[in-house]
Amino acid sequence: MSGAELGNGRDGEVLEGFLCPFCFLDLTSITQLQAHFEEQHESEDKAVLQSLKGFLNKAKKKLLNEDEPDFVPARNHNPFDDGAVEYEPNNPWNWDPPPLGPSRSHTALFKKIRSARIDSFVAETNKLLIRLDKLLKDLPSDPVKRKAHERSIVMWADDKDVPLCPFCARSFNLARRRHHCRLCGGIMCNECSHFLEFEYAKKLISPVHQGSMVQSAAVNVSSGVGSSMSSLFSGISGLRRSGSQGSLNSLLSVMDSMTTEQNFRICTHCMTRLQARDNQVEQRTSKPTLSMYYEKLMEYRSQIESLLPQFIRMAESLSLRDAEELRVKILKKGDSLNSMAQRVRNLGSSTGQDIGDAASSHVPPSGPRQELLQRRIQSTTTAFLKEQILSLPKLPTHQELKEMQERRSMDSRRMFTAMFKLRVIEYAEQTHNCAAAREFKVSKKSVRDWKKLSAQLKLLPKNKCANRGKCNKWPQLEVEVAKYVSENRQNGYGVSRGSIRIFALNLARKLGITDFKASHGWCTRFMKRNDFVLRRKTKISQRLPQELDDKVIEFHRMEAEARLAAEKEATRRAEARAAEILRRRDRDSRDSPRSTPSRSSSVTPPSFSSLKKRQQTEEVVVDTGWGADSSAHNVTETDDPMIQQMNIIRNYIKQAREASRYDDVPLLEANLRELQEEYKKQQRLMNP
Amino acid sequence: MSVVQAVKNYVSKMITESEPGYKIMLMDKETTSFVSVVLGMSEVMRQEVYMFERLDQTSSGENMSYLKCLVYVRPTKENIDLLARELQKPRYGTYYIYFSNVVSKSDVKLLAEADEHEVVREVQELYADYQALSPHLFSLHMPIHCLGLKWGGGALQRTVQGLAAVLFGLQLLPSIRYQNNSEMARTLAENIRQTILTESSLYNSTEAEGNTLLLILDRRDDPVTPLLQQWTYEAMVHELLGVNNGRVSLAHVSGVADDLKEVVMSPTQDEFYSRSMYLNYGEIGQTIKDLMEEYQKRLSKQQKVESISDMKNFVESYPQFKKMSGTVSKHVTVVGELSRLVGTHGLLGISECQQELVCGSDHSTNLQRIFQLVTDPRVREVDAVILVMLYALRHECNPSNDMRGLVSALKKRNVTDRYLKLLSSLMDFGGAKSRQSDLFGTQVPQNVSTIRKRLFKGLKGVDNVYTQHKPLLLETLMELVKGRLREGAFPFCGNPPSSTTARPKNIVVFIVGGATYEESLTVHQFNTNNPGMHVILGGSTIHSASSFLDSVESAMDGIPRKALRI
Repeated sequence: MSGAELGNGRDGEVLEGFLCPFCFLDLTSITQLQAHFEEQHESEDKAVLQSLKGFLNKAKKKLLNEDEPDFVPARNHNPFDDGAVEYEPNNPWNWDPPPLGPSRSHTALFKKIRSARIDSFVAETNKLLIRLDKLLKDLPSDPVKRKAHERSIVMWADDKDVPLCPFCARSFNLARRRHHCRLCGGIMCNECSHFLEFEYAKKLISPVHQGSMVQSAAVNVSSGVGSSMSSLFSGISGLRRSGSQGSLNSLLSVMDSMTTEQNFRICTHCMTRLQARDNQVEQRTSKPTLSMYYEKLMEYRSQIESLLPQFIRMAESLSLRDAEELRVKILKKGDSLNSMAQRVRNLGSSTGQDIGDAASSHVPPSGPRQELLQRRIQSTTTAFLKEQILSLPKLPTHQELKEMQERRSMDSRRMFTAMFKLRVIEYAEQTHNCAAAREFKVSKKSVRDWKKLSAQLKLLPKNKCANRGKCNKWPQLEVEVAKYVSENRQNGYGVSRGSIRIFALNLARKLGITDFKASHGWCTRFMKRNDFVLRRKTKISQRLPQELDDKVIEFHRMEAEARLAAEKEATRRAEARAAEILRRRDRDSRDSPRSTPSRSSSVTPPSFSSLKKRQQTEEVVVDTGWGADSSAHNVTETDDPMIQQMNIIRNYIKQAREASRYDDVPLLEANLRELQEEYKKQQRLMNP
Repeated sequence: MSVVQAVKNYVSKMITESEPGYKIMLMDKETTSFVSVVLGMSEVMRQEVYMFERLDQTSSGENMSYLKCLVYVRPTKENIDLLARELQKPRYGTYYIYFSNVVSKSDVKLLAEADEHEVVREVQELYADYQALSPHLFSLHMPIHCLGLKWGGGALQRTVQGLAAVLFGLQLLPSIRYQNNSEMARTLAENIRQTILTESSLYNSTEAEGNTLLLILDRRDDPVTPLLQQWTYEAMVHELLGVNNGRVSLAHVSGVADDLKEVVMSPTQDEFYSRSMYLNYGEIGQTIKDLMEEYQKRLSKQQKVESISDMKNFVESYPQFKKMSGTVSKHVTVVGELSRLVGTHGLLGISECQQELVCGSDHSTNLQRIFQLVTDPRVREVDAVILVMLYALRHECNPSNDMRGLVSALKKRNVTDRYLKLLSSLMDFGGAKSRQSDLFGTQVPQNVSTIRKRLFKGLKGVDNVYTQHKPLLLETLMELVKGRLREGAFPFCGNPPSSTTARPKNIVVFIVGGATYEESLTVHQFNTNNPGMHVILGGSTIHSASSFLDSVESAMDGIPRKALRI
């Protein structure tokens, strides 16, 4: 936020503004400085106070011609200049950012409780896996022998002990028979049992699976248990290796003989354990295409981010050649970032599949939420590019640079001492105004102005910069008058200009001041100096400017026109494009029916330039407020001009069908096909 | 000391701690609003958080195990249960859990037991449990805080949590003062004190006692401020259009473009707004006019794209231009709607009458004017009622008041029963009997300083008829700064700090029953004018007149009406 940034740059800068000469506090306005001074430093030297007052009064006269800086930004400043807010350290927006607040971690406690629980699961799951391995090894194909084999490895529970199915709590009878889980030996009914396919079981105990499991276990399990566990695992994998070939053979033979029984009956409990393990391993090992694309994308982004400050430094130090080189490099990186974002966007998307995108053909179609994610990634990247790359500062040419420097020196408001001005005047009288302006690098107007003031300038002290008018000639008198005014007001009497002037005149006579006339001008200045206001209550400031309504109407009309124009332009372009394709197709068929002339020239390369063009039609995304993503799947708006055109042609076909203009239909369909082909080509270019 | 920055710090801590990679943020209803008022969506997306989900609305079961999930929720019972369910069937790869406040050990245990898949990497508590609307303003977004003049169910706990989070997050260890005549303020003060004592381990040092103060006030002491028509941009938008979580709905405005149906009006996300939110109505019109002129100038420049260099310039200035056009059309629409409402409902006249009534002392002319407005069919029903309410509050003790006449005028207008009931409810809620401060400056002054102050008031003259009123809060703050705030009226909770001479530098003011944007403006001005002082204002909610009336209605529910019988 700008406030925070402003707040940072305080140290070491030259202090200026309304500083209190004693404690160097920055007070935002004269009135406040004066109040502060009178309140805090009352005991300090009275002389300083007086001199300060004198100085302040002078300064005030100058400044009060403008509005007294209030807490609100001045009305006439340009609302678009970023960072144009005057630096007010007391404004809450400019408060020093607080340090990161405290936080308290519960992770250690959480992990302690979790591992105490998880350890028992891990042991249990491992036991199941060992049994599964044993079961699969040398599995007899004959059902009776197989049963004996199964029972030799796992103790089956006694039928008498289990009167009800422990999962659905219904009693067993002739129809609902008892079944045994082959892994834990427990009893359940047919409906509650699961069947573990041999294929899946093989996968669960395959070496890849086990290897990663050992690793993960070593990481997760606390040290004491860990060593014993891993030794246990190495035992399994040893077992696996020796028996793998055999079990595979037996499996095949089983598959040959009895196709119905390729699975183990197991209970829900064991099934969830095994599935959980499977999921865990799956997650650790597999990495979707999206992740790989995304990593690449972020790599480009961080490269650009690291190059940008370098470029800006170069551009500022005006080492133009290096900067130009770097600029090209950044733009290239931007190109590849853009195309990467496109790829992320199109990954497994329905539009991509529609036209048989080569890159996404092996990727499963993404769910609505993943699609949303992809879209968000792309839009964020586009925003990043817009912000970072399109706003790269343009490098000035050498000539521009020189001009710029000169202009700056002319434009900036500088202060000149009286001595300097007199020197300029002297030079100008010897030569002429233009020459003097060139020589001293000031504008001609100031030379003219100074010439007029030359008589006054001669009277000024040599180092004084400004001739800021008269100061308070009768300080004592004014103090008395001010006292009179506030006393009157406190007692509830109204004070007018007239009464002030009469009182001042009388007082002057009393004090023996002769050259005092109590003029109208003096009265104004006196009131300004003492901050008196004789204003009446007003209502004017509450009125909106009179022409506002007209302006608003005008603005809306203009906006609507702009929108209309943009739409017209878009349709015109699409039509022109369709017409061109039609024309080209005619020509092609006339020239040579089969040969396809190179069309690459007409296909816009998916480069950065296309991004730039597209922006003209794209609506700006005002950062609307947000919440959670309520509905995951929104209507996808394609912003690719090609797809837009395809849609337009599809509409044409539909219209033609409705109007029974059947002659046109085949022609349009051919166009559509052609467009699709071009689009494919473009996609291929984009995703080599 | 900025509350906005404190919340931002916490959010960026969450995002950076979970290392690079794409992320989803899982939040509850309230934490969503905490984040969304301080950060724009695109700002968060820049930091690789692309998706947002509500914990209580997890619709899709789509497994996205490649995503990292940042959980940021309040530590409520429901959230813990939902989170435990989520962890049992995790949809994302890893979870980083952050609670917005103190979480109990038993809840952590519950979660740990649910995490069978070992997906949780981090469990922490942060102290960002409030909506930070401006650097000096926070709200707990709790429109109804009290039932039957007592803390409503759960409201006390929520308030203690929110307020404690502000104190923890900014590392403020304050002495506490509360409004003496308010039982609710006292209960809250004691609870806060207890919380600070039990969580004292969160503070690095135990100093800062002397210069930090928590002042707890009750809305009942100043029922006038929320009823007055406001004229700053921020307050007008809230009063007339309604700001909800930093967003304003313009869907009802005729002929509004689709992308302006709902707009962001949050100073943290809109630079133009943050610069103009405290401007007065007339000034806003002028600023908007300048803005449009500037825009048109630029637009005409844009349209001249002929040479190559024009083209180049166009491309380079385009993003900025687009941003500007979004800003312009948004604010033009908003101000247009405001000016329409002001015109059709005759709000200028009403406001003038309101201000004269509250700040002036001329009884008979005001009464006449009110009668005139109440019978005017152009004036909205609610405005008429509010006028009568203000009159009743102002001239409650005046023996020659004409409440009977006004009420019968309201009845003649066929004002709904609800409003008539509210009128008498309000008198019990914030009438003279339930106030301890001299709200209208009508009491016999007790000391010389008040006399002087009253006389000085008139000295500088009044610029603007419509903004004469200054909220009571300003007076309280001034007295506090000068060390003149009476201990009888605002006693300390616990022992007062040993060095009573030290004037507080950091002040957190909390208004039980909601603050208003007028008070926010006052605090802003106060901060700007008092270098070295940091005042933060908080409230149960930020009131508009209608939300204030709703809260009065629920507060007085079931309490027999005494003050005013109609």
